[in-house]
Amino acid sequence: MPSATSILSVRDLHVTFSTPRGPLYAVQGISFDLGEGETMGLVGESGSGKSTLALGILRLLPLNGKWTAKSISVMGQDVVSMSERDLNSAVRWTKLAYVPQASQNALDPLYRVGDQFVETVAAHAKVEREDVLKKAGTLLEQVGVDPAKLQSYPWELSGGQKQRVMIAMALILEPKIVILDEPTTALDTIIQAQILELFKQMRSFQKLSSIFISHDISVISNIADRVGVMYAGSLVEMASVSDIFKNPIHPYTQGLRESVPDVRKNKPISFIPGTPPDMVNPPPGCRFHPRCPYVQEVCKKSDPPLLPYPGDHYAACHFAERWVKQ
Amino acid sequence: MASLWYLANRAINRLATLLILMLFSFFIFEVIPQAVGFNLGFFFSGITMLSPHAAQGQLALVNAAVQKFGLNDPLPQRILVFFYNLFTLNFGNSALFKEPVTTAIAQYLPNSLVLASFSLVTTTILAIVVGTRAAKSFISSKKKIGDSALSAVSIVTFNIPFIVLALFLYIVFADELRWFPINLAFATTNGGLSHFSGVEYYLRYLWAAALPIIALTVVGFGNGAILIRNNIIDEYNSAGYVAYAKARGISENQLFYRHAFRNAMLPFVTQVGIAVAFIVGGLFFTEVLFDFPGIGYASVNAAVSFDIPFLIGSTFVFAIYTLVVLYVLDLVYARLDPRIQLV
Repeated sequence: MPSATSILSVRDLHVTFSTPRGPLYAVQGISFDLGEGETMGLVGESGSGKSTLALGILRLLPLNGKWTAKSISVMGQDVVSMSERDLNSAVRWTKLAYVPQASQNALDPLYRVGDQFVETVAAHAKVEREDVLKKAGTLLEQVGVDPAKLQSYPWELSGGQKQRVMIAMALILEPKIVILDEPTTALDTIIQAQILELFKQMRSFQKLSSIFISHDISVISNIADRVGVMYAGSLVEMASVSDIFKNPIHPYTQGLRESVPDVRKNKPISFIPGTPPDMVNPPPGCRFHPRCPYVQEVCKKSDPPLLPYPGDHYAACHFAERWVKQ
Repeated sequence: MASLWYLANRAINRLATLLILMLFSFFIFEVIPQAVGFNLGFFFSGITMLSPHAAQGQLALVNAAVQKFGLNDPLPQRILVFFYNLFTLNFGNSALFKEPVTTAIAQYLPNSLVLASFSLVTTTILAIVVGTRAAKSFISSKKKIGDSALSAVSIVTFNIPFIVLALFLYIVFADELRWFPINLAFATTNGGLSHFSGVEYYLRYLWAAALPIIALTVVGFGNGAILIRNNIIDEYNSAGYVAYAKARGISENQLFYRHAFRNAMLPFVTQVGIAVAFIVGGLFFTEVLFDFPGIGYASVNAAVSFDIPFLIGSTFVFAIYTLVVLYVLDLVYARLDPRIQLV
């Protein structure tokens, strides 16, 4: 999926964790491009590898995680062979920022919020402390947090405030790309809606490109331009947000769409039977075949590749043609 | 910095601990001997042995002591008198040392303070250095040889019985090799041949104190080192704020020291409190084994000769020392962890 204006491109990213039971294949050969100014949503069940994909791109895997990739290029710069030091100085936060999933304890409890802003900037540029705090204060105001909170410790903030601080922190060095990993999952629906609105404003204001990870399809449909659906460590479908929800090709995406409860209709909630596969011993062939209602013999033997279909629509299913709208 | 309320709260807490401890000591040293039929007056009068041929004059002394310390008064009243005497430092006379208990304690206390304080500092520093180095090796080196070696040393030394190590050090380094003096008196007088003063005296003093301090340090640091190592590795690998700091492009050194290390220190401060208790307990062995005349040494002798007033006094002093160190640790904890102010 090469694109002329690609700002982040990932080719064949694999992430494996060593576990006591053997290697766990968390991400298996994912490739995609993020266009300039684009918001790409990533959906999938818990354990499908969404967060691991983000951590792999950021090279933040825990010690038992190993990654390989043909290339990961951030604004035209290949980061695969970069040392940690170069990555710190040239890519992390200055170009590529991150709002982590565990944002409730992402700030060190021992330091004031303001000091953590200062620490972040100091790692990249020589800026006076006062100037950093001034800029952080402005950002906090924009995200709806009292700038006086710079004097507070993280544990003195509410969950919603912490989330807003994380967004302000992501923007302090004016990056081009932000990866947001479940930024609203821990919040109640009202705060969630506020944060999404805020993110939309910041996105257009700072001309951000972003990857927005969520298991919540309604959030993704609200915020993303393009959606990638992940299942068992692979992208199984990728298309524009309208195509994904109007004309899903992959049976998994279809099931995912059906499983969103609709409060206006009094119909039983449907779900995809079964559970995601154990990634230490993944099933052979198509990873989804044990749960797929349309499974055939071929699905149990060969793993379908992600192929393009009309309308910039990609899917990995042996029987994709059945569901492609002509 | 910690709020005044926190300081007061911890002080009250420590004071309560002291009262409870001393209440225990009251029951052990005064109530139990009486319950099994001893006349406490003997111990308080300075007569150590209960002789059937006790002279009339001695009996008078015994009765005087019973009167003076109110040993036959009702229990609640005795407890009040006991605490009043403690806090006015009126412990009575030591039968063994033939002088007021406070005088005897003042004579022995400095030696114990030197051993306890020095070994507490060396144990803590060694635990931090070894634990941090091991964690650093685990995190940044491929083969982790440094970690394996340091962890092994920590675990092995921690599991050596103290008495075995102390005897080994004494026999090998003091008795055979003569690298260290046989005891404190020998070191400071050169076996009665010389008189030292000033810097030379203190150097010779430390020379004698070195071996017991080494013994206490060797068996003491491993526990803390392993704790620090595990805490740092755990913080570094799984704390959300370390991963997030890494994402922000913060250097590995800063991740390690500013975030992982400082957070890992918090449980260690608590552990140092346990080490204090260990060291104070170890003083009894250490001072006897190394013939180092501190309060532990004196207490063992006092215990053997039923010198109850001295034992009450030394228990009180040890309790105060331990609680003061724990109070200082409370302050250190509050310095390290801003959340403490809430308590």
